[in-house]
Amino acid sequence: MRRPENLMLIRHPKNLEFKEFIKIFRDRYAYEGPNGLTLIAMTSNEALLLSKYLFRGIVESATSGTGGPPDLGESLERFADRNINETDLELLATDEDLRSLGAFLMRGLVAVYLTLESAHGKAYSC
Amino acid sequence: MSEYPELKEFIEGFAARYTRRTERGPELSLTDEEFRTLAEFLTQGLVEWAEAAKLSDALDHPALGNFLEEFADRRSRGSDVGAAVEVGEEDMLGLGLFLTKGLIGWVLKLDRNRGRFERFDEIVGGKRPSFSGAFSRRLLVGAW
Repeated sequence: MRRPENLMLIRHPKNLEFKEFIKIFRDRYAYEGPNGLTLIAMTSNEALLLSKYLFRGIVESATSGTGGPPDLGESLERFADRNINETDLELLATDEDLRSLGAFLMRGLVAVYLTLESAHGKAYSC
Repeated sequence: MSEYPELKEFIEGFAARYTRRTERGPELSLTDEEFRTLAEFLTQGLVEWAEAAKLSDALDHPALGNFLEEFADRRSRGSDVGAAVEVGEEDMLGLGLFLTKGLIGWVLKLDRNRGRFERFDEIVGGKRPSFSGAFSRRLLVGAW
């Protein structure tokens, strides 16, 4: 028997703009902390879930061993598609949004990498 | 010739250092705390952008790209180390698409865990954007 929440899944709106999606996320999960800082109400395990998905997709694209030079975009898209169950929710994003998000993700990855290098006592070199 | 590593080299370097091959495929050797750092950084940046947009009169202000760049600069201030990676246009779009799909899958998961699906419709109902930009992309997404 399906759980009620799963049944509600099919009622998601279509044609949602990326900006609207983030605003909804903020309305649901962000709150003002005691120092006026914007905090996000999520558990450690929830944060872990997103990070693991992103790291695994990136690493898989580097270690897919397909022989020829893998196309990063295609490789990541395949990974994302394998890891999601499609619903009827559709999101609209501009190329400009996607470029900005790509740059942001890249900056985050670099920052985490440098932190790891520092924590593990390794010098950054490429 | 650029002195910066290309994205592919950077990712391969990362994979070489922090993954190990197992029977199930590549496995990351990171602590939970190290994993969480990335999600917290990304979601905090996006929420602050939405917060700034809420206070602004102009619907599209501040621009996502500029805001996230400034956010990242603020967060890394004080660090005495840095790195630059050369990323091509197509790779940037691929990463953006990947992050977007991941974010949506993740938020739907949160919603399902907390039984908030109906409210999603309430918030969005009646104000769906007309989105006819020449460069718009449609992403079909879902929950993991």
